[in-house]
This record gives sequence, C-alpha cells and structure tokens, in this order.
Amino acid sequence: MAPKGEKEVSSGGSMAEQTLTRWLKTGYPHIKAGCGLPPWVLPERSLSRVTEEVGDAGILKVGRPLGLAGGLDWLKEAPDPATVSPEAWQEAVKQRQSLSQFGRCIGAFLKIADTITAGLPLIRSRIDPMVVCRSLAVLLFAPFIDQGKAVLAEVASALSSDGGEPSQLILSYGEAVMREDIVMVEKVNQSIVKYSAWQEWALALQEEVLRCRYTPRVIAVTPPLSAKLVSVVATMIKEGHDEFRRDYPGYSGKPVLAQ
Amino acid sequence: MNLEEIIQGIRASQSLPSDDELRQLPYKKAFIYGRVSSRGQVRESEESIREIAKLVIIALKDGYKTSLNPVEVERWLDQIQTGADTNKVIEDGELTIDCRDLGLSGSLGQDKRPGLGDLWRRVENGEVGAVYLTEGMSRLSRDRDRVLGYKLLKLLREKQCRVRTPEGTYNPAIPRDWDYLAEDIEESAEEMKKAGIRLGRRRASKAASGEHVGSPVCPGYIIAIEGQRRDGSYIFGKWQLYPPHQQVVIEALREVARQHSLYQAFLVLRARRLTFPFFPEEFKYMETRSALRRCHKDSTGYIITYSALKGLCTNLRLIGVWQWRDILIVNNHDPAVPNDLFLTVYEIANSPKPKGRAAYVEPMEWSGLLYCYNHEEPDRLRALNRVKRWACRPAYQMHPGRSCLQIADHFLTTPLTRAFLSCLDLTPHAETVLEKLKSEINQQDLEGSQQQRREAELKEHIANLERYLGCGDPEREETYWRLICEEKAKLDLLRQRPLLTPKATPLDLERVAHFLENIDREWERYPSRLRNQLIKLLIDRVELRHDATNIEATIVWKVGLRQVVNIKRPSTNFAREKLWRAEEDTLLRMMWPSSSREAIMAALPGRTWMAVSQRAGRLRINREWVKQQTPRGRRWTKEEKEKLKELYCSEANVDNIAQELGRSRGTVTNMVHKMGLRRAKEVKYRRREPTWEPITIKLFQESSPRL
Repeated sequence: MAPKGEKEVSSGGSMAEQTLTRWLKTGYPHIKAGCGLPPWVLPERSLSRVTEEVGDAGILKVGRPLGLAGGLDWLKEAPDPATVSPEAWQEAVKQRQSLSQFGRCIGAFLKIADTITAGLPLIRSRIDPMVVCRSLAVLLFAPFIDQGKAVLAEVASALSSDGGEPSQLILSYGEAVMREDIVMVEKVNQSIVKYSAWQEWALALQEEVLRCRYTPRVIAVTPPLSAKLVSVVATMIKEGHDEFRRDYPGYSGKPVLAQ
Repeated sequence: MNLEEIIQGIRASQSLPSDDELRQLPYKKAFIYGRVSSRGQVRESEESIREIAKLVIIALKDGYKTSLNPVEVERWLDQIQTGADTNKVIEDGELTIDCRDLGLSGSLGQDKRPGLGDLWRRVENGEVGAVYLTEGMSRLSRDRDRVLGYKLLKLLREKQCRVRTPEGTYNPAIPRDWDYLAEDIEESAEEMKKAGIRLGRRRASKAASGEHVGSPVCPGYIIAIEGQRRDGSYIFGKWQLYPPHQQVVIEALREVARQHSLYQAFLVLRARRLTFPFFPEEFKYMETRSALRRCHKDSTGYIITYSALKGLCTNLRLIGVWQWRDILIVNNHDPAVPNDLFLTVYEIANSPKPKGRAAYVEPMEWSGLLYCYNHEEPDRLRALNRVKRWACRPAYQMHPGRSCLQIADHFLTTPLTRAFLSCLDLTPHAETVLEKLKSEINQQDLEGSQQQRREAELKEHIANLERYLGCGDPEREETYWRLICEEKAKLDLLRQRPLLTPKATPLDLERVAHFLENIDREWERYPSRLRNQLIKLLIDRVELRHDATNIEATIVWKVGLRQVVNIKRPSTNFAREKLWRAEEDTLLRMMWPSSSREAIMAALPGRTWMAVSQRAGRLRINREWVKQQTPRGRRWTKEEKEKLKELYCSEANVDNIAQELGRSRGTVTNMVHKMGLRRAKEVKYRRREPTWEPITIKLFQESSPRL
C-alpha cells in the first residue's frame, strides 16, 4: 500500500506515460554538462536503458523511503520535458548547489570501485559485499539531497573524516574496505542503519538493481561515427560472421544477406 | 776416365735439345681430335671429316703403333656422318681418335666439349705426346677472348706436347712454333668476331622488320613457320596469337588487376590450378622456343610461377609492341591482351613495394601506439613482430647497449586490450554498420553473377577462336575447330546448370548489435591487422612509464579519456634484463662481508643465493667465514613425500611448496631430485601471464606522476 498522497503504482509501471523516466532521460545530459562530467562517464545510454527497464514504478519505489516520491506531484501537471529549453535546464542545475560535488564524487567512486571489485574475492570472507555496496550507494547519493546531511555527518565521524567533502568520505571508506578494517566498515554500516529511511532506501535500491537485467556501464566510450570506423567494424562482422578464411586471398567470404 | 772425357760429358748434359729433337715423333701417345662447328657441317662436309682419316695415315707414318686401318676409320667416320648410333671414340695401341666434339662450337669450353675435356686431362697426366689436328689451333679453340686457346697452348708447352697438322709438326716449347700457333689462335678469334658481327647484322635487320630472331616467345603467341632451310632448320616470321594460351594470359592478368597485387594473384592462380596447356603435336616446335620452357610442368600444362606472372605483366610484346635491343616497333603483331588491362597490371607490377622484414607481417595489436616516456622525448616502441616482443631504443645512459624496455607482447597487450575493451561501446553505431553491410551485399558478386561472368568469358573465347578460322593451314584449322567444340560444350554445360541459391546467413540489426555488445568475447578471433586498425582509430597513444618492477601504462583515447593500467613486470628469464645494476653491486659490496643471508636476500629481491654468491666472487669480495652447524633435518614422512609429489607436479613453484611443507627450498629441491620427480612439459614451459592492477580512470586529465 502506497503512503497517502502518492500515486499507486505497480511493478512494471502502470504510469503509462513514464513521465518521470522521460524527465530523467531528458534532464540527465544537462546535469552532466552542468557538473562538467565527460561524455564517457555514466553515459546517457546506460541511464536510458536502466530507467527504461526499471520504469517510473521502480524509481518511485526506491525514492519512497526517503520521501522523494511524494515530492513528485508536480510531474502530473508538468509539461513535456522536450519542450523545456536548454537554458531553463542549465539554470535549474545551477540552482542545485550540491550538484557541484557530483563530478568529484563520481571520480572518487571510480577510483575505488575497480580496486574494491578486484579485491572483493579476497575480503569476501571478512566483509559482506552487499554491506559495502549499500554503504557506497548511500555515500554517493546522500550529498545531493537534504535528507542526506545527517547520515553523512554520522559517517564522517565514523571515518574520522571531513563531512564537508563527500568525495573524501568515499575515498576513505574505500581505503578502509581495502585495508579490511572491519571495525571501520561496521561503524559506517551502523551509522547508516541508524537512519532507517536510508537503510530502507539502500535495500530498495539493491532490490531494483538485482532485478534489472541490464548491467549499466559506468565508463563507456562511444567514438564519433566515421566512415573508416564503420568500415573496420563491418569488416570485423563479416569476417566473424562468415568464418572468413584468411589463408586463401581469393576468397571474399560467403554472401551475407540483410533482412 | 781422363779430363777431356769429363768435360765432354758436362757439355753434353748442359746442351739444349735441338728444334728437330723437340718436334720428333713418335712421342708418347697420339691423340687425333676432330671437330666441326655445326651438325649441318657434320652432315654436309666431306673434306673436313675425311681429313681425320688422313691424320691416321700421318700418325702411322710418324711411327705410332696401331692396328687401325685408315679404310676402317673412313668407314667409321661415314657412319658418324650419317648419324648412326656408334661409338665416337676409338682407342687402339698408341692412337686415340676422338670425334665426340663433331658439331660443337669451338667457342665452348672444355666442360662443354667432352672430347676436349678428355684431351686436356690426358695432356695434364702426361699420357699424350702429340695432338693431331686437321687444321691448326682453330680446331681446338675459337674462343673470342683467346683465354681458352692460350691456356691450352701453355699446357701443351709445359708438357712438351707436339701439335701435328697435315702441314707439319709444331712444339709450343719452341719460340718460333709458339708464335706460329699463337698466330693461329689470334686468327681464329678474329674470324669469330667477324662472324659474330656479320650474324648480328643479319639478326638486327630481321629484328628491325619485327620478325622472330631467336629470343623466347612470349606466352600467348607462337611463331609462324615461313619455310625450311636445307639443313632442316625453320625460317620463322612474325609472332602470331595462340588462343589457348592467350586466354590463360588474359585470365592471369585479370586476376592481377582484381587482386591489385602480383603475389596475391599468384596465390589465387595457384589455388585455381590455372596452367598453360601443353602445345599440341603440330606446334611441338614451340616447346623449345616458348618462354614457357622455363616454367615447371604438371599433368595439365605449364604452371604459372610468380616470376612468369611478373614477366607477363611487364612484357610489352603482349600488346603488340616489338622490343629487341634498342628496336621498338608499335603494332608489330596482334595484341594478346586488351591495352587498358595491360596498362593496369603494368602499373601494379612496377609500383614500389614496402621494403623490410616486416613488410608482409601482420602488425601487432598495439603497433604504432606504444611510447616510452622514460626519455626526455617520448620514444615509440619498436614492434619485434617475429618474436612477438616490444623494445625501446637502447638506453646508453643506463648501460652500454642495454635496452630501456624489452618485454613480451602479451605482458602489455593483454592488460591494455582488456582496459580498452572494458570502456568501448560501439552499440549506438549498430544501425550505421548494418546499412554499410547492406550496401556491400548489394554490390557483392553472388554465384549467379560469377556464372554470368564465366559464360561471357566462354563466349568471348569462342568468338576469338572463330576469328582464326580460315587461316589456310589445315592442321591449325583443325586445332581451332576442336577447341571451339570443346568451349561450346563447356558453355552448354554451364547453361544447363541451375543457378544456385546463395548460402547466405541472415544478418539483422539484432545480430549486429549483439556483435558490437560482445566484441570483447570474440576479440581474439579477428586478425591482429583488424584489431590494430580499430585500436588505432580510437586510441591516440599509450604512454609507458616503467621501472624495474612496474609499468604504468596510460591509454590516451582520441576522445580525451585517460586510462591508467599498472602492470607488474615479470621476473624475466632473459639475461639482458637480469644484468646487475650498479646500485645492486654497491649494496652487495656493503652487505656481503658480514650481513646474514636473509638480509642480503631481502636487499636483493629477484636474485637467487647462487647468483648473489657468483656475483660476489666476480667482484672479488669475501665473506667472513662463520662456521655454521647445520642442524640435522627431520625425516621426510610418507605423507610429506606424497604431498610434495602432488604439489610439484601441479603448477606450484618450489618456494610455495617449501612454505607449504615447512621446509627450506634446498631440502625440497634435494628431495625432488632424489624422488626423480619430473614436471609435465606444459607445466614446465607454462607461459607466464601478466598481472596488473585495476584500471584507474583519470577524469580530469591530471598528469600522471612519473615513476
């Protein structure tokens, strides 16, 4: 049962118009540009596919514990996101001061993410990977909403770090994990658990992520299209597709029919 | 004996033999040498051959003993003249008659004239004392350079061998006779020179009119016989087209134009087993006159070699240009190939080729992109394709002739490629790629079009053959008719064959997208040429900063992304990379006299105790001798031995085994030796795999700290 004042949604998305998804997809490039993130980091394509798969329902389900879903009533009367001018988007991003931290947080996350992923098989027996994932998710998201200030301060004191620099918190946490500092990791976990809303949010997010079949790519370079690139890729497809025999130069491959 | 007698004896021994004594015959054995220049002369000449028989009479008169009868010799010579299969050498008593060189030119050396070779050997051995010749020295040599003639004359002088002609006897040891014989050699040489000029003029005037003058006939042509001389040799005119070979030439040149490479075309032609058919019986004379005589043959005909193909592509005679020395006649004979086709292949055959060892080697995956940043100016790494290694230039400031970086390809390629592919996303381009493939398919020649092309070729061939009908020569006419019938039969067969439906595999957007999404899985399947092409399109360079143990590789994408991969350098087995560094030597000098073994080993990682001891010996530094009492080790239990066997035969290294069993490395190796354990080949020679740290993405282009 949804809390009072919120629209009842079912899994799969009865919100046929998928308004929230469209707003996210349209606004995301402006947020990235405003934060100075290069195009290959958290690419739009990844976000599009995740939001399409999760749908409005999934997004609202995740946002509900933090009360974020309740604040989206304006979407019912909101215009089509495509009609919003780029200037308006840029202005909105500028007004959101916390977004200035976005780039640095992502940078810090990328710096530790691979190290932790590679080290997880070794530390798995001592630290629960899910706890690490949940904590990192909270550390990544909390700086950008008002509800996150308290939990960040708590985590900062647990890590004996500066709470004003969220990216530093992420780095410190990552180092603690790699050091296998169980005490520190547990302290951070307890700090989050203390705030049940964040605990619930993290669990809901975990559930949605696990349900999602598509694994989004954090870094994905899509090079600009050029005739040469297309030609090389087409040759690769042909050679792979037709079991091209390189030892016989006269052989030009079996014919390939396009449908 | 009185004084007078002694003086007379001395005088007698010191006095030289007189000329008559030197010319005296018989002297040792006699050798009658017969030679005329051509087979025609052998058949037609009467006097020259009969003179050989006369030499027998002279030899008998000179006192040589033989049972040979001059009449019998004359009969034997008649047999040789008529071409009867008879022995051409007679040896009887003190006389040898050698007619093996009848029909061989005097300009040939002794290696090509069996008779002269035999004479040479016998004179050298001192068996022969007189050479009987019908004329002078011209029988022995007509060498234009005079080398052979004088060599022979010197040999005769050295061996005191006489030269007997119907005119007289000569001994080259006598200066007057030498002059006479030498003059003979000079005259023969001059005669040959004049004959050469005379013949050359005749050839040149014939060549100037575009007629065949003896050079090899280009494939696709035959030479028309205009008549026959009295000696049976043919009189040839201009070159004429020979359609069966002409078609092969056209096909071969078309393949060159299609492949745009001589070598590739050669490979295709070889795979297709395209050959020049053998000449039929009526053109048998072409077998020795066609340039194809140099080609290898198989059961179907003359095989097209690479050099033959190159010759075809550059031979102007194929388009009707007659070329002989400085003579160039355009439209001399019918062209065998279309002009534009010939010009295309001529350009291909004469285009400059890439030189060097790596010209035809597939580039390595990261070729041309790796730069060593340990220098003041970044230095591009050399790809040693043959040994699959990378090498930086020698760092002279470090050590004379020592390479700054030399590493096996897979130690760099594997981590770099993983990093590259982990960030590459080509899926948004799926539609464009599919469009490109579609357009290619439309242009592609399917089997149907191949059949049509073959049909057109056959029709053209038949039309060509039909043009040659009515040439007047019934034999050739018959050959052309036979060929036309064969080609028509082939055409009928081709027309009857149903058009095959192409075995095409459907390719849709989903498949293309799937390929692009999973490009990393199939990556190794593609040739390194293609992989290199794709990487080069997207990556600007890879900056390598390295020290003895680590390599920091920064992949710089063209879009601006910088990925950093920290690769651990392998502890290599290559002696060059294991050279002792100056700082290691200093450390060893300090520690070796008094430090413990453990401390030294810790200070010199990557060195074995044996290596350290040997180095210390070389540096002439001594270790303070301390008597060490080796504690008696505990006995090996059966279980331990089993465990050792299991671990040793697996991939574990000795240090790990020692740690696992709680024993020293030496104890473990001793026991391995004692138990006679052997590692499997695949374990022993296992290729070491690279280890690298997770990738770091540098979002904001901060500069990489130098190692």
